[in-house]
Amino acid sequence: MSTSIKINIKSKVFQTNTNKRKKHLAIGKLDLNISKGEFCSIIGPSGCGKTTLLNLISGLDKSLNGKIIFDKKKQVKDIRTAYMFQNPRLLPWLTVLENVEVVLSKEQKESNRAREILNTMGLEEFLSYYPSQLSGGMQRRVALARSYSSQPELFLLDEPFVSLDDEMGNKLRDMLISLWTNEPTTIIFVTHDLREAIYLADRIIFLSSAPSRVLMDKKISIRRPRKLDDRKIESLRKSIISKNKKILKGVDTNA
Amino acid sequence: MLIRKYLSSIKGFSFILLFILWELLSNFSNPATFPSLLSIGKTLFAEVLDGELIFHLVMTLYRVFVSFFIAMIVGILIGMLMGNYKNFDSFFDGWNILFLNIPALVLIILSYIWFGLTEVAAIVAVSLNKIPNVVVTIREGAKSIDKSLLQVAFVYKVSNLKKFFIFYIPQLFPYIIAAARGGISLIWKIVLVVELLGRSNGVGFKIHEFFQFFDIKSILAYTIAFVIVMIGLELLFFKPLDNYSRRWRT
Repeated sequence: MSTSIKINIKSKVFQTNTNKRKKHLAIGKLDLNISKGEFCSIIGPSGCGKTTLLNLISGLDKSLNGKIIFDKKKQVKDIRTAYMFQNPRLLPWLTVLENVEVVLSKEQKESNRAREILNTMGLEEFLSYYPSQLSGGMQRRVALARSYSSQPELFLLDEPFVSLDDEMGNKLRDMLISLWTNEPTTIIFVTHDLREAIYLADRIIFLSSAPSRVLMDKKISIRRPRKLDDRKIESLRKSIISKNKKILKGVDTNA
Repeated sequence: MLIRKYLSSIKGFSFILLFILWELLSNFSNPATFPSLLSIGKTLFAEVLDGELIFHLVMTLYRVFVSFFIAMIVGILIGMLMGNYKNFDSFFDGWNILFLNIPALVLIILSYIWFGLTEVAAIVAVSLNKIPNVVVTIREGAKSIDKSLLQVAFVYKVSNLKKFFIFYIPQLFPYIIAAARGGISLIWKIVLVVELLGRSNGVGFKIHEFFQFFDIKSILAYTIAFVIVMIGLELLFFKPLDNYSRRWRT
């Protein structure tokens, strides 16, 4: 099960705390269609409104001038969502297994899904551990297991592997890809790392700095399974940057 | 380890010193006003065997528990509302400060005047004395709730019941325990005053009675019995509860 998404944002404004009259325009006009089962990566400079966009899609932030529609007619409350935040956000008073099971429905819980996914992620020996007893990388694995166990129709990720060392980060990227290959779902993956985006995604949306709009929409057609050290990834990265030098800074030099 | 042993030996030593001091003082003064430990122990033993002490102790404990639970439930509810909603906070804040500063004795007397010398009046008086303290503690807890965890519950569409009991309440738990611990020690002291002023049983009533007969030995025997029960409660109930609530901390 996965969902398509149709995003039509006219504007998203934040009221600044210090000065009520002053408003910050976080997102300008932004239209985006994401199809079922697509692995879509969103890339942009920090502060460009990537997290804001995810919060709007997930319904965490409801104040929006515009519309976000799922499966042609549904609202976000009608679909199963998962969200992997920058921090693992595990409940410290629950064990690893409980942390995964707490977001599952009764049927999902009875199907032993939590255990299976934790096992495939190499966490079978840590089911009764508390998050404070785990390393940062393991906590993120639990968060990933929690997200995927809930069988999301839409899976949002907000720079989930940031601040991990390369080895652990790559391990988690591979886990994400193998979960997604086995059970395809619609993924929106926010990052500022172009190489990561190319390695993972079917499609990369480049956002401008605030107020954000789409600068470029690029399909990634490198055949799967991909390899991290594949020369095609590096050459694609170089070609994107050489064509448009400031794209990662949120500026379109060709415009 | 060594330091801990050393410290606990100091604790033991200080207790022994207290006993010795007491015995010395009682030796040099009137045994009626300053009875020796041995005679207090004898009285305590006799009162326990007699069954009277147990009866009054149970009556007092009953009042302590009922008013404790009422104060906790009401205080937690109001404290949560005040911590979460600014309107509630502004509305009740003045009341709470007022009640925090009304002397316990005034609340007790007013309660007896308005509701008569009844059990209800006694329990209302004790609860009213404790509720503002619970509110203050729980409000702090509710204000420091980590909203990012509640967002997790929202995103995964966890039911409201689960959200409340698994995502919210555990964050409040340390504050609830702090309020409960402070609560029970304050409440039992107030209960004795309430009994002294308007009840015909309980430890407070008995102490009042002994006071009229100038029976210091019995007053101290009752005091010791009650202190032992309350310390037992702390060790057998609150300590384990506290440990349980901290089990996930390393």
